[in-house]
Amino acid sequence: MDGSKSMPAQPDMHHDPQVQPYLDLHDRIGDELPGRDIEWHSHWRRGCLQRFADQGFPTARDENWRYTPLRPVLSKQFAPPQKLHAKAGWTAERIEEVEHSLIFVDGVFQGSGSGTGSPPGIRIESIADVLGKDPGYLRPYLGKSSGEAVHAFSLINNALYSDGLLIEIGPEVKSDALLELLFVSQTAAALILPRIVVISRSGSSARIVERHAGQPGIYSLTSSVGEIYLEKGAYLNYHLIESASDTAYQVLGNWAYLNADSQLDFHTTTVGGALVRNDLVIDLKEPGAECNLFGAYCLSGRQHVDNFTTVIHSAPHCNSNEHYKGVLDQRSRAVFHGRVRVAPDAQQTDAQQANNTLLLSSDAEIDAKPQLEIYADDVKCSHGATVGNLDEQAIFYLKARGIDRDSARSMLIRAFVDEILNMTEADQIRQHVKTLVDGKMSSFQKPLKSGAQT
Amino acid sequence: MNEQIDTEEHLESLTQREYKEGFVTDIDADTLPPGLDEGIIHTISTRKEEPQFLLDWRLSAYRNWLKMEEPEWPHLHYPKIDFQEISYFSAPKQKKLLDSLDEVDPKLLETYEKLGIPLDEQKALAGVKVAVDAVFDSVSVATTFKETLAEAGVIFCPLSEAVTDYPELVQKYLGSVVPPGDNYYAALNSAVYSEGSFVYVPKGVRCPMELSTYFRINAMNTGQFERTLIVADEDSYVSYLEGCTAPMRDENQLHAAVVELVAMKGAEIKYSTVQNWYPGDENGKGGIYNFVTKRGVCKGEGSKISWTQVETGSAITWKYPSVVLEGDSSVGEFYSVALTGNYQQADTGTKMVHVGKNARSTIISKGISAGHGQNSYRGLVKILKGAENARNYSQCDSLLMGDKCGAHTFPYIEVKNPDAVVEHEATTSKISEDQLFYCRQRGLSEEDAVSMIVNGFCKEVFKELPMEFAVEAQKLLSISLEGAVG
Repeated sequence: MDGSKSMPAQPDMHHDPQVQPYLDLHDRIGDELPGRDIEWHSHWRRGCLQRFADQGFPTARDENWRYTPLRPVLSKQFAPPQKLHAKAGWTAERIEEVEHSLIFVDGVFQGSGSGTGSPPGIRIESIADVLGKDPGYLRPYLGKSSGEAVHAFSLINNALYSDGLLIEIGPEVKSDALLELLFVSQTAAALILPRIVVISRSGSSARIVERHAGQPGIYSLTSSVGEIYLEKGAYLNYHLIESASDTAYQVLGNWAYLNADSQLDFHTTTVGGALVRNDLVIDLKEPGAECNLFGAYCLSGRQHVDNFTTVIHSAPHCNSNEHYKGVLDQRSRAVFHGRVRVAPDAQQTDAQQANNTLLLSSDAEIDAKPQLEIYADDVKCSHGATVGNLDEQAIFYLKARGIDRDSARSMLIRAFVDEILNMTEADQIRQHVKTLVDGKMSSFQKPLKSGAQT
Repeated sequence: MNEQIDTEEHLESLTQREYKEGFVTDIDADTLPPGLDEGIIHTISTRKEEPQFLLDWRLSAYRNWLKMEEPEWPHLHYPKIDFQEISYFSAPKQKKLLDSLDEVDPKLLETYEKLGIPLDEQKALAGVKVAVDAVFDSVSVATTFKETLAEAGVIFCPLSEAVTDYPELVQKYLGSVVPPGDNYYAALNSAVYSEGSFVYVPKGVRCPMELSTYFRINAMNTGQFERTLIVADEDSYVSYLEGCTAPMRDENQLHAAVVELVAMKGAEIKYSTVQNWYPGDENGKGGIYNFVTKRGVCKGEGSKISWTQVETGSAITWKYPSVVLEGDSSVGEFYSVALTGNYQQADTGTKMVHVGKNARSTIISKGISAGHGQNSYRGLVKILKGAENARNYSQCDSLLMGDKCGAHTFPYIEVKNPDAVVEHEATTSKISEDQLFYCRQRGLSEEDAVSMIVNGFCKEVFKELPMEFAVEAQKLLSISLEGAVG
């Protein structure tokens, strides 16, 4: 673990052993990464690497990470898989009727899985190719997320990502197609750095599903960065589904910028992963923008999920609505951080937020931290958070109607989560997440029956 | 449109309050030179003729403090405090120990008279009976109704007196709730605290009257560091009121107090504060920095601690009256109204830590921001693993008056027990045009309408205050809001 000492030291300072391997990795592969000849891009990469070297990994003293200990992640070593362009040795189950599937194995793009090419009006191209053809094209988009909630993991992605995808929905293109990004991890100790740039041009509408799955039993570290830009009047429906193996570490970041009258519906469903951090930052930049964020998490074992959301109302007349619900069993732990910031002069803001969690086990834990920071006066903002167990009266009601306790419990838990899952518009996606949740619930421990039960 | 402008003007005039407690009492004071080192602590301890254990305690707190860092996490902005520029002890000159009120310097009595605090027992008899311990700068000047209380067995005296008369009680409980190294300001307070009140209510005694401490900062360049310790033994009850004012000065003065409450089995402590330190002028110049650590422990089964605070003063408020619910079936309550106008900043809230079984806690926090005021609620609800059937309800509402102010909420909820039922809700809004229109249509002036709406907004908290305090609080709020119609 401490092999770093033999490595050539950085010119300016010595770094802690957790940071050093990534700096060494940069020394090894930095010259092969895309965009090295483009001044703005390499300048940005260098800045991110320096910032990472300076600040290191977050600790429990870091307010944004106080409930998410990183020891399990930082005690292991990760590296990009040796065999680039590895073929998928393990396949994730497919979602029925997904028209366009883009598959990444250990972070490397494998091409379109279903072989039907790009949906009409949508440009899908490797970031490395775009940088090669038109070095300035991505400049207004790539790396613009470096403001809010940036931490060591996203800095590592910035400094070291080897490729990614640009998804550009053309002006006024109304696409009904479900575009799936499937990330599969299959190599042990892999460091996976996916990168996506989504640009929804004015008046367009599209649907994207980002899915993470992995071979059971292997541990890996994924640090993804998604940057989403919605131009005037654009609509984007984005669904993030995490069903990675229970040994995967995932830090998934999405940063969205919403221009006038655009709307983003962002759904997050988490059932897999050993330690999952979902960073979601939405900046409502121009009047009339709206975002709806829905999250569901069902955890068991020793899973740890940290939903870290930030909604910034930068402009007047914007609406945001956020609702996260979760069920925790066994020794699982969830964190909900919901920050809403209303900038001065962002009048006529309507921001609602709610977080509800069911604790099913005496070893489970929830830490909720909703935050309102309001600097304008003509606003309607609220947040609510509840934590509790199943309502005994509701269980009794069902039992009185001849339903046994276990079924009554399952029914109530499902109904609890379904409030979020039902917000999913696409039938096939809704069905898929419901199947995932059902599968997860079957792993929940049966509660101990009390003496009064028959 | 005209009406809009009208409203804003009104609003402005309402937030610009006069501070009628802003006078200075011209009295000879014995003040230590500014600065802080071990020598100063020795001097304070010697002057107060303290036993060795207290000096050691102070010194260890001071050494701790040196190693600590000033907290930067609150949502507050102010220039760094130079702790060497503050004088840590100031006492009005007195010739000898006082036997009765007649010997108190008439100027001091006059000061409290002006503030409306009757130190004269005869006068107080006419109204409601409240025993008062008046603290002027660093020392206690008078404690009233001592004899009546003694008959009931209640000890109510300045802390320094308690150190001499009941050293075993003080040694047992001082620092037991807020340890000297608890946080930066608590450590500073432990090192240099000069005065405070001590209350002990014996088993089964219901304190026959409200107890009250009135704090007054008078001298320049001084900090006030008082410490209150209240112990309610089994099945006893005490209600305690705290009030505070200071003269208007251009400089910022530091007030770093510590309050510790201990409630044994079945005991109940009700602690009410109307905080009206000088808030600074309309440009944010001057005012008190109020950095206070308040905490209570519900030690025994069925005990109850209730904090009620009305915070209208201070340039900066940093305080989180907390309850540790150790005993089974204990109850913790926090009711707060915090008002920030002009350039005032408040970062206040509570902590409810559930340790015992079947404990309940309630948090009601009402924040009002006007002018350039910044008002933050920061709270923690923590349900530990063994805290079965814990119940918490939190509600924090913010009212915004004016487009330059801010209202923020930072609640932390940590739950480790599945039987817990924890609810938190927060809302932020302004007084709507509809509400105002409705009231005005019924013949109320805009100012009265706002005052009524604000009072309604705060009602849940005011009804927790003892009667005479509730009246004062309402008056204070309407003075503070004068001209702040929204």
